[in-house]
Amino acid sequence: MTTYIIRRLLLMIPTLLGMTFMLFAVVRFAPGLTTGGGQFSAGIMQSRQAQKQEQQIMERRLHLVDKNGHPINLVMQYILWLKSTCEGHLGTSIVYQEPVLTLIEQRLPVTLTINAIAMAVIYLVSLPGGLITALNQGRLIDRGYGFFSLALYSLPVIWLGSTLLGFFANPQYFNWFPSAGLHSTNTGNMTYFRYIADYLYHIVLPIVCSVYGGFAFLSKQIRGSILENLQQDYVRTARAKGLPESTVLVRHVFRNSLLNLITLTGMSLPGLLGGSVIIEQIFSINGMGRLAYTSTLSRDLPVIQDLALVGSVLTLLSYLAVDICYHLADPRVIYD
Amino acid sequence: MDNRFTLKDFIFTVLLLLIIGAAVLAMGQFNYVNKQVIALSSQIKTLNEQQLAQTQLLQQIVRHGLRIQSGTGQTAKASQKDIRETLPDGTRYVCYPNPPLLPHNPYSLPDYARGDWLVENLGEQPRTLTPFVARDEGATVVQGWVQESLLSRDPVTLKWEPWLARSYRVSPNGLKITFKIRRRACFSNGHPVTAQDVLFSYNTMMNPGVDDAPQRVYFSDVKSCRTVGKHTVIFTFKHPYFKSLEVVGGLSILPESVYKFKKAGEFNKRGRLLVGSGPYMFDKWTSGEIVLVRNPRYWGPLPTFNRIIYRFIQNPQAALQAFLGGQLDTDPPEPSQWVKYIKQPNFTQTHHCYKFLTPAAGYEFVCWNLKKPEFKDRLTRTALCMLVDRNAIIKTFLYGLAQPMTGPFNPLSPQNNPNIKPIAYDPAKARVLLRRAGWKMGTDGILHRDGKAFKFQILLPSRDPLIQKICVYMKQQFAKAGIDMSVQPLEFSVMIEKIDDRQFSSFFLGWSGGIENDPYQIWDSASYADKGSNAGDFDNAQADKLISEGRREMNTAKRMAIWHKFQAIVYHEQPYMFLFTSDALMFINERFHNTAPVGKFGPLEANWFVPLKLQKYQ
Repeated sequence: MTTYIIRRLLLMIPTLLGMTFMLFAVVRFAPGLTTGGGQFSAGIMQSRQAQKQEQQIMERRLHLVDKNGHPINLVMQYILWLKSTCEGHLGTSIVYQEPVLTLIEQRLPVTLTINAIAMAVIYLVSLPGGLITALNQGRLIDRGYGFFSLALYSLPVIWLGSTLLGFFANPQYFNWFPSAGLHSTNTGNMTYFRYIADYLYHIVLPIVCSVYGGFAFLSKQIRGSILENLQQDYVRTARAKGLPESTVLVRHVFRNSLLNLITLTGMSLPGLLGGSVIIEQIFSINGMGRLAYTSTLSRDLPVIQDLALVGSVLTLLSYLAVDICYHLADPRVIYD
Repeated sequence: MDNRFTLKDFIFTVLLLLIIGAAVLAMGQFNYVNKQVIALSSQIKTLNEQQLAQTQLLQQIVRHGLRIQSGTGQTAKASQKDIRETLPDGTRYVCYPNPPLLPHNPYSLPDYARGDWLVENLGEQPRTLTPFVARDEGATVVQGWVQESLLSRDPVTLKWEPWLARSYRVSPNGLKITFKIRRRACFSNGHPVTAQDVLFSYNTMMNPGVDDAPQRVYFSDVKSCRTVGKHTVIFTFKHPYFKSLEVVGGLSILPESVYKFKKAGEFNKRGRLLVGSGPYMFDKWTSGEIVLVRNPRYWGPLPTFNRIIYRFIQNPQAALQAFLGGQLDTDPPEPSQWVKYIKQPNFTQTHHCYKFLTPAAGYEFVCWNLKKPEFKDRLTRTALCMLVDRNAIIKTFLYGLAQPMTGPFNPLSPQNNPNIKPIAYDPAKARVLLRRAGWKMGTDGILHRDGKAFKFQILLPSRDPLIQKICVYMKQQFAKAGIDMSVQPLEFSVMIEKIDDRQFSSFFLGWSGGIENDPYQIWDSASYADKGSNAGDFDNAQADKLISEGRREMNTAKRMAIWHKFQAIVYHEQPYMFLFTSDALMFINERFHNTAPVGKFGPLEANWFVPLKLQKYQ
C-alpha cells in the first residue's frame, strides 16, 4: 500500500506539470485586457499615461518583463511562474492588490460552511431516499420519489433562486427570510447562540438552492447500486442461511452499496471549495464563486491562474484519497 | 466477523460526532466572547483617549485662559466674516474663518436628535479601501466619510470652498496656490492636520511605486509642493490650468503618523487601513458589510449618526426587497422598479422618493470610427443621428427617466451650451442627407457609395441588457433606411482591447461624468495616438485650438464661452451619436427627516437625522 501511495504521488508530478502548462497557456492566450476595479460603468475613462503605467505594473507582476523592462519569452515566463509557485508564493491580485492566498482566506469560510451544510442535507435525504426507493422498486413511493427528485433536478437554479427570493424574502408576499447577506446589521448586541441562529436564518434560502438539485443524482446512484447488490449471489446465500431480512439489507447489501458513495463523495470534495456563482450572485454572498467570476471578467490573471491551480491540486489529491478509502473500506480491493 | 460495523459502533460514531460538534461550537463561543471583549476594551481605550484629550484641552484653557476669550470662543467667531476678494494685483483670496455649514443643515430644527444608524447598500464590495489606490465607486463613498481635503465643493454654487484649509490664495497667473490650514482641524487619532501631512499626501500621490496612476496624471502639471511653517502649503504649477485648484484642493489629506511607509508596496497593500480627519472612523470590514463609527474628536459639527453601515447587495431586486423589509435605509431603484413603486400611494406616502439629475452624471453614446470610409463625412453621421428617435428610447427603455444629450457636457453643467437643441428624429430628412452624401439605394435594398454597401458592426458590452435592447432598436431603424448594422456584444475587457487597437467600426459605451470636464482626453486630435481615449479619431483643428485655449483660461465666464463654442463644433461634426444621461433615483426610509435634495446634488446624507422617538438602532 505504501509503495502504491508513493507511486501515485510521484505520478502526480507529471500530471501537475501538464496541468500547469495548460492553465498557463489558456490564461495567457485568452483575449482581453485587465480592466482594473470599477471601470465597468466608467467605460474607458483612463488616460494614455495612466494606461501605460498600469500596463507596466501588470507586466512586471506577471513576469512578462524583467526588472529592466525587457520582455521575457513565454517559456521563461512559465518557468518563473512555476518557480515562484513551487516556493509557495501564490500571486498577488492586480485588481485587489492583495495576495491571492489572503483573498482565498477571506472567501473560503463563507463558501465552505454553506457547501458543507448543503452536502450534509443532500446525504441525509438521499441515503434513506435511495434505500427506500430500492426496496420498493416499481411501487408508488419509488415512482413518486423519482418523479419529484428528477423534477427538482430539472429546475434551473437561476429561476428557482430568483423565485424564492421574490416570494419568501419580499415584504409584499412572505417576509420570512432576509433577502441578502449572511448576517443582520446589529450582530454586535447578540449572544453567541442568537448569532448562530441569525446566521442559519440567513442561509436558509441559499442552502435550499444548493441542495434541491442534488437529491436526484445521489439517490438514483444509491438506488441503482442497492438493486444491483440485491441480485448478487451472496444475498441469496445470506437469505438461504436464514438471516433476518433486516440483517441482510443493512449488513450485506447497504454496506456493499456504499462503496459507490466513496467515489461520488471524493469527486464532490473539490466542489466544496468552488461555490456557485449563480447562488452567490442572487443572494449577495461574497464567496469563492464570485471571486473567480469577477476576476475572470476583469482579467485578473494571477487570481484566475492560482484559483485554477488550487482547484486542480485538490482534485488530484481527492482522487488519491478515494483510491485509498476504497482499499480501507473493501479489503478485496488491492493495489500493487 | 471481527471488523463488522454494528449498532454499538453506530451509536459510538454518533456520540463521537456529537462531542466533536459540541467542541467546535464551544470553541466558536469562546472565540466570539473573546472578540466582544476585545471590541469592548478598544472602546474603553478610545474613551480614555478622549478623556485625556479633554483634560489636555482643559489644561490648555487654564494656561492660556485669556486667549480663549479673545480668539477661538464662539462669540468671537461670529464676528469674523467670510472674505472673498480679488486683490489689486489680481490675486484671488478666499477665507472662511469657520467651515461652511451645509445649506438646510438640520442642527437648528426643533426635533433634531443625534443617534441611530444609517444602513446603505454599496452593491459590489470594494476591492480595497487604500486612499488613492482604490478605484471602485464604493470605495470613494466610504472614503468620503473618513477623509477630507483642503477644499470642498459647495453643492449649490458648485464652487470649491475652504474646508480643511481656512483660506486659499490663487496668484494672478494661476501658477501658485497658497493654502492656510485651519488650526482646529485634527485627525481622528488626535494629531492636528499640518502642512507636513499635506506634503506627505502629495508625495504619496506622486510616488511612482504607489498604484494610483490614473489619479497621478491629474497632478502632472504640478511643479512643486512646499510647506512654510506648520500651517501653510504652497503648490506651484508648470502651466496655468483651469483645474489646478480642484486637483490640489481635492487631494485627500492622509495623516503621516499613520500612513508613513518605507516602500511604496507597503502602502498599496494596506487595503483595510483608513484614517482621516472626517466625521466618521473606519471600524471594520466583514464579508457582508463595512462599518463606520462616529469620530468623537471631529473638529467640525458633531455628525448625526452613531454608525454608518454599508452592505454589499449586488442583485437590484434583493436590494429593493431588503429596503422594503427595513434591512436597508436607502435604495437607488432601477428605472423599472421606480415606475412600479411610484404608482403605489401606500408606498409613496411612507417613503421618501426622489428623482433628480446631477451635473456629475455621465452619458451614453455611440462612437463612429471616423477613419472608416462610411463614417468619414459629417452628413452621413448627422443622418444616422436623425434616424434614431432618442425620445422614444428614453420613453420605452428608460421609462422617461433620462435626458437627451446634445454634446459631451451634462445639461446641468455650466459647461453645456444651452442654445444647442438635440437633433430631432426625422427619417425623411435623414434620407435626403444620405442622398446628398452620395449614398444610392442598391437592388439589394442596401445603400451603396463608391461601390461599397453601407454595412457595419457595432460593439457593445455583453453584460448590459439595456444597451443590447437599444442596439436592436437602432438596427431596425437603420434597416428601414437601407443601412445594415450588425450587433456584436462582447465581454467588456475584450471590447476595450478592440477599441484600443482601433479594430472597430462603431461601439456603444458610457462615459462617467464630472462637473467641469477637460475635453482634452476625449476630443483632442493628440489623444488618438497611443491607444488614447479619442478612439474614433475626431480631428478638428478649430476644436483643438479651443481646447488648448480653454485649458489655459482661468476666468470662469470666459472659459465657459470657449467650451460653448467647442460644443457647437462637436455638435456640427457629430463624431458621436450622443444619446442620453440618466436621472438619479432614490428611495429613503421614512424615519429619516430633512432628506430634501440640496442644490444640484440630490439628498445629502450629512443633512439627514432621525427624531428621537423614531430611532431604530442604539
